Amino acid sequence: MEKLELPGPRAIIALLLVLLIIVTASPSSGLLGEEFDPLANVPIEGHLGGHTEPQLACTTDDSTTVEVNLTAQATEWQFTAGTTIEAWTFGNALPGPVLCADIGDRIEVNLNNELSVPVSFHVHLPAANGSSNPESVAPGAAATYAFTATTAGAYLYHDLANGNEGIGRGLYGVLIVRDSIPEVDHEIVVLMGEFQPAYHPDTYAAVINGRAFPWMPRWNFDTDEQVRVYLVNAGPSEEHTFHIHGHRWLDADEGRPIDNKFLSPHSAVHHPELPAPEGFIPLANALAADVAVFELNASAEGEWMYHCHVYDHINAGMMGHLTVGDVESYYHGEDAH
Amino acid sequence: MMALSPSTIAFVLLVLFELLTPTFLLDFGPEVSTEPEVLGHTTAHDDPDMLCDLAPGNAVRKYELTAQPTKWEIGAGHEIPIWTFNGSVPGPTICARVGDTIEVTLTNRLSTIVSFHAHGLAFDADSDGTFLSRSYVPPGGSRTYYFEAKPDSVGTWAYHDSVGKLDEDPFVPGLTIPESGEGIERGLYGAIIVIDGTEMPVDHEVLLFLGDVGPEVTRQGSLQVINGRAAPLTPQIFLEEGERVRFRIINAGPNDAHDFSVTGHVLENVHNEQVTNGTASFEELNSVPLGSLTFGDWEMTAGAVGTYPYLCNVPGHHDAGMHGLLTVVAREA
Repeated sequence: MEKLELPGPRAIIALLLVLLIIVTASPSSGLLGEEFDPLANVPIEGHLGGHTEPQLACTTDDSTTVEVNLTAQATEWQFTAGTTIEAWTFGNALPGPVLCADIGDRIEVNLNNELSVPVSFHVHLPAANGSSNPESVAPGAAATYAFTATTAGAYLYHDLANGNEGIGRGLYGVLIVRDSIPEVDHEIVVLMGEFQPAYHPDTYAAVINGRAFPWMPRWNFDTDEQVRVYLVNAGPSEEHTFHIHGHRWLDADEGRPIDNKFLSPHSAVHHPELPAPEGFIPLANALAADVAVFELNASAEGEWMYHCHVYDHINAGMMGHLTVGDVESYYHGEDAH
Repeated sequence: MMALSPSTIAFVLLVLFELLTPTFLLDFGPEVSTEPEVLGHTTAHDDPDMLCDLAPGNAVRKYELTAQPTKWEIGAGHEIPIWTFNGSVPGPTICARVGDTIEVTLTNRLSTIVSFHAHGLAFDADSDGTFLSRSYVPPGGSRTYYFEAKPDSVGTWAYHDSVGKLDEDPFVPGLTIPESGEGIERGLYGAIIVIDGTEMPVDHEVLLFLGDVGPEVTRQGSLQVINGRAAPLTPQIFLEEGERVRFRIINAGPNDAHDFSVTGHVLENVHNEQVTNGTASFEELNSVPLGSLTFGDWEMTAGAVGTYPYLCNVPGHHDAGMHGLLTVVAREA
């Protein structure tokens, strides 16, 4: 006769304690203060009501010259509810603006340095200054960097005058070079990185687009919308993966479907000459890329998590949410749309 | 002075209870083998030795998993209490063919909440295995998760617990991150393999899980494990000279990236587009990088008779246990 299995006394005691927590805990239990709204200031991207034109990460015009004014400056950057760092930024935002060019365009970046350290503009576009250390701009000075957008894709731009510290403090952004207008409903930029104690005393956060949970970007899509994702690991020094729940996409590097993309930090792929910050574990023989561009079909209705699948990074804030279709948000209630 | 709320007190009691559980209340189930696994060519065979050999036909495949405490020899003479699906690390392999439906019933015999989260398969949010979707299993409970194997599900994927922690407060929305790697670190993971029938036949398929285990679980130093164990208890792989093997490799996490190689051999990515359309030869790699919870398959042809260490090349990982031996034996006459 089959033995009837009952939960042991340990399981029963633990279950009773869990039930006690469930019964007694609530947003109004006073544990976390009364007036605090942690979801204020969550940036919402993607489908916001009807749209007939694609919602792109950036747009270009007919001009064959793209002129960009960037100011390197000190910024008090609040990256999640109530927590700030003393950042260096391009244009008072972290990351800097998404730059956009058509293939063949001339790009002129006028860099104005208001920081107290030299700053440079460096981008990994082939035939730009990707393989060299560009001249830096002295504090209080200005200079122009000019190059041609030779190859379509997404590229990290960043300061290289301060080694890894430039990225570590926030001097980075993404340049997108287009060979055509993509036939997608949305484009999103996912720029991963860390705020490390070496550059921000008493702070460790794993961030996307300069933000950590619960201030992560929130994406809303209609069912079956096509989304192009520009995924970049700025670092300065840690490996990240990017996992979206409930969806798969074709990975160009591997030639097969995946649902979690591994990216080396930008510094490991392009700047192995820079000293590695403390705690960095280099991959010995193989280097994964630091950029991936892929298209995702938002096919699975519901509210889903996206996150880095390194659990130390989830616990340091690298997790957010997206909704597909007209669904109620657990985290955001009716404000989701 | 703020008074302690009832939930805070209950939470403190719970943590104390978890830490101070008397031994007589622990139930580890049956003893498990502590011999190293032997994989690959073990007996003479004519047919390909595939991990999942399934006929087409849109089947419904049902799996029963039990999350349970297990006594586990993680290194030679180094026994620790862990959590497993069905008594071993990794848990049972879930096989499916494109068009199949998969039902996984998870029973929880642990004293913590657990869940089943699948990579690669298609599913509704209530089979996601997360706090967000409320699709976890309390102690003593059970739940069935439903999945479909779609054309873009083909390949090698992990399943794992996606909650596995009690000292979170998932019931106050927006204030905590209700996911931790504790369930994975303690052993709650396994493989999902989906085929579509176009796979090249190989002589053997070998499934390897790479993972990092911290000192709070090992009760000693950090270990880097393969199929749940550190060297010398890592799998012993045997191949005949010239045999073709497909490695299905899963980085089970929860944190570290790995860089896997077999000395004296190259691993081939046969999925690369230039390869499949015939404009390039196989992409040959000296090693393959795998971030936390990334997976894939790579093929290899066994070289000359001899013994070849396989290992992770990330500094420190070999010495923390992440290596083993692949032996190539002479072809039988």
